[in-house]
Amino acid sequence: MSVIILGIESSCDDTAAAIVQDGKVRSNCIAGQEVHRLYGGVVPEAASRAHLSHIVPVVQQAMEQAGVALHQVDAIAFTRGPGLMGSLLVGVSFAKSLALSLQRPLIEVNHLLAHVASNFADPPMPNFPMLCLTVSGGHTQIVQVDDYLDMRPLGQTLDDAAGEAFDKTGKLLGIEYPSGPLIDRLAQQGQARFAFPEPQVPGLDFSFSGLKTSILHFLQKHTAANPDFVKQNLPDICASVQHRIVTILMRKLEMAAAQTGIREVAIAGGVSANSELRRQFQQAGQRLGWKVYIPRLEYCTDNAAMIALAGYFKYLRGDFVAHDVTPMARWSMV
Amino acid sequence: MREPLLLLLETATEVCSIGVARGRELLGLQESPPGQDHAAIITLYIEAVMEQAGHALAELDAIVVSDGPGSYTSLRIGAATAKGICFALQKPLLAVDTLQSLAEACKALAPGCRAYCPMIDARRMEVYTALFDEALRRLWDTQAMVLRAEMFQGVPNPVAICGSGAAKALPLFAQGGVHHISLKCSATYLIAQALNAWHRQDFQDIAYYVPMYLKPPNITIPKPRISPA
Repeated sequence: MSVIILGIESSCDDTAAAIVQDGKVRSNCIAGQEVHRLYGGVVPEAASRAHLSHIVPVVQQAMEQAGVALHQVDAIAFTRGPGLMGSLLVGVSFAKSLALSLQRPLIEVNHLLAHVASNFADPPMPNFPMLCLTVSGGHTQIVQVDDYLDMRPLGQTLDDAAGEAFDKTGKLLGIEYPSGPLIDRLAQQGQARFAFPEPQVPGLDFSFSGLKTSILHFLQKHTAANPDFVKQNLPDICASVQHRIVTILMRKLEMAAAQTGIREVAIAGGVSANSELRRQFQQAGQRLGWKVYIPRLEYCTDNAAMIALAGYFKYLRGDFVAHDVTPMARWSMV
Repeated sequence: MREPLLLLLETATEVCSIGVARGRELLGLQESPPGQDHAAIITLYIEAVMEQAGHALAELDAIVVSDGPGSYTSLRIGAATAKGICFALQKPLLAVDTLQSLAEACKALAPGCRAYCPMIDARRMEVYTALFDEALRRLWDTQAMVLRAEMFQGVPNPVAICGSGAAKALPLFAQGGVHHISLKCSATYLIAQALNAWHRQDFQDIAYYVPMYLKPPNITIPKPRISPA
């Protein structure tokens, strides 16, 4: 019997809806929010307002693209957290009233677990156990994945996320938000000739706040001597910062693979679109004999297909939630 | 013609009040004590009032929301919940002015006053308010206002104040002529305006409806930390 899951994602600044049928993505729709570009970052109240205006059109579009009618949907999966409380509340409230109206079960999904689940969207399917490095504007963690829903973080950032390090660097350099894609493009024309320190964090955890400060001091020092320093060296600065962020990520991922002996390795999250990360990840895979997995770009950035996919696996387990469920701004996956 | 069956969602303030009415007749009501998490209870309350009324959601003629002003977050919980039902069951959406609903309820309790001033708490000494005359004609537009002792200068008294912002305003009006009517937002008070909107067919766009926020998001833009190149 066919199982159809509607997934709804509203944890940050993208309102998204998707249909997954029997584990296959049938539609994956996103309404982004341009408003935050003006302010160099996500403004929570503006994001919440935009979600309320986007949610009906996005869900409708996901239904139409999948050729599925609402009464055919078997369950509603939604992002419960982690994320911005005001943003989550719109998706959660909408999902709950849809479920109540259609008399269908509700499935709560952890956004970070869903990022990992984006690796299950297309073949080849990873084998378990697997390691996944999830890197985005809000999250950085290494997860050991023992089954579709059975995973535990081995290490995570103690402060900023890797994507945040890109965005904050972009802000210092006067690069428009979100800065990651443009830094990546500029970096391809430059050389990583400026050295930034590698944070000394024990174990498999990460830290990016010290790097951010050292970039700030580096730029302050050089622009004091030469006001045109940034303009004259922008590609090289971008290449150097990107190189440092990616080597921090890869060093920990290699350490995790060595410690666990796991050779099935994936990346997920918005930063996995970064070309330097993809290059170093593929190289490490060849050098260390990993089988590597990278989801399609549309499943890397925030999306609802991953929510519906994780929801599908939970549906098979009968893992539903009651209507008193509320969003969780912070929510560890275990 | 049969009177419409309406689901009423009042979430503008810290009271979550959900009702169902057939025309003017209230068939079910659930109201939270202040401070309860609207998001945790709203669909449970909807289920409960429909059961009290003995109707299924599919039988509703329209969903009614309290339009605000009020708490942004709780207004959005009400609006997002309403949109889910409207979208799933193809029902029209009606929006009712929160302050006017309070003014109407206030007049019913204190009919002899010359003016009615509902106030919804907007934190610190600010309220969302509007002023209505004895016939409930609007004298002030809905606005965010910092409370001050002379705000009713030139307004015919007695003035009745009510709503979640009224208690903190009362000490300013020691000179008399201002009565405090204890009144909280309730789904019950949405009925009259909702019926008017229903008969006018004044339906909201389900996709793009937003509550009355009154103010843009509060945004501060940081200064650049290094001089621009």
